Amino acid sequence: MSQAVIHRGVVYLAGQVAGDAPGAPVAQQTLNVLRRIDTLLAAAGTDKSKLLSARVWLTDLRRFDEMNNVWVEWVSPGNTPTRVVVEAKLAAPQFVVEIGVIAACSGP
Amino acid sequence: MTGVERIGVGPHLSHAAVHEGIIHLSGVVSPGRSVLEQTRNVLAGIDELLHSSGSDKSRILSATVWLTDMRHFDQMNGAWEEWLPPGHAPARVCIEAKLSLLDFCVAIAVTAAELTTKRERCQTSNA
Repeated sequence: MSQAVIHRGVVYLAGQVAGDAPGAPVAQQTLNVLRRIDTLLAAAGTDKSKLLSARVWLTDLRRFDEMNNVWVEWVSPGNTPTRVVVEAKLAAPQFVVEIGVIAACSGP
Repeated sequence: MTGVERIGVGPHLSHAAVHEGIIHLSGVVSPGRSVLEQTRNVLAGIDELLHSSGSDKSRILSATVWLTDMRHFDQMNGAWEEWLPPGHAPARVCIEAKLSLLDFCVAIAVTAAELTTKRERCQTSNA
């Protein structure tokens, strides 16, 4: 799969997991996921202030606040995306949070 | 890059984001004594958000429905079918998942097309 696909001014990112922090607590994994999203958005010529939607999957919703505290520090104030958070099993046991986003961007 | 219009902007999320004629809504939940009633209230909430965003339920492209218990599918689906205008059903996914808002049994998120593009609205207002 591709990590990002751009079409008509919209970039679709693959669900990101904390590849640099496997097995770490939720807060640390969330931070790593959001940094990866920053990097991919930059590669697409855009940034988090242009986010349209976010889907957050947590393996354990009891960790919601830990994820959410990192999230609220990260989002662009006044430019928060639409969001859904649900609990789901992820592809590998070392990951406890995955986030997929769609953002406006320039380009084809 | 064209702009993004947002509705119901909060510290964690916005209720709607509109870009290039496409409306994205956050997952909507609503209280109710049954899944049927919750779903009806969720759909009324989606009606309001789509209206505020310049669209309506006849223009929904895709919908994701999360139920905390799939045994409630028929209740959700009953409300869904009585709500949808005939001939305008969107693409839909329905799965079971725990919701971050623990008091609720159903959440629905949709994307929709604007009723008219901003350019068309400008042309109309200039006519």
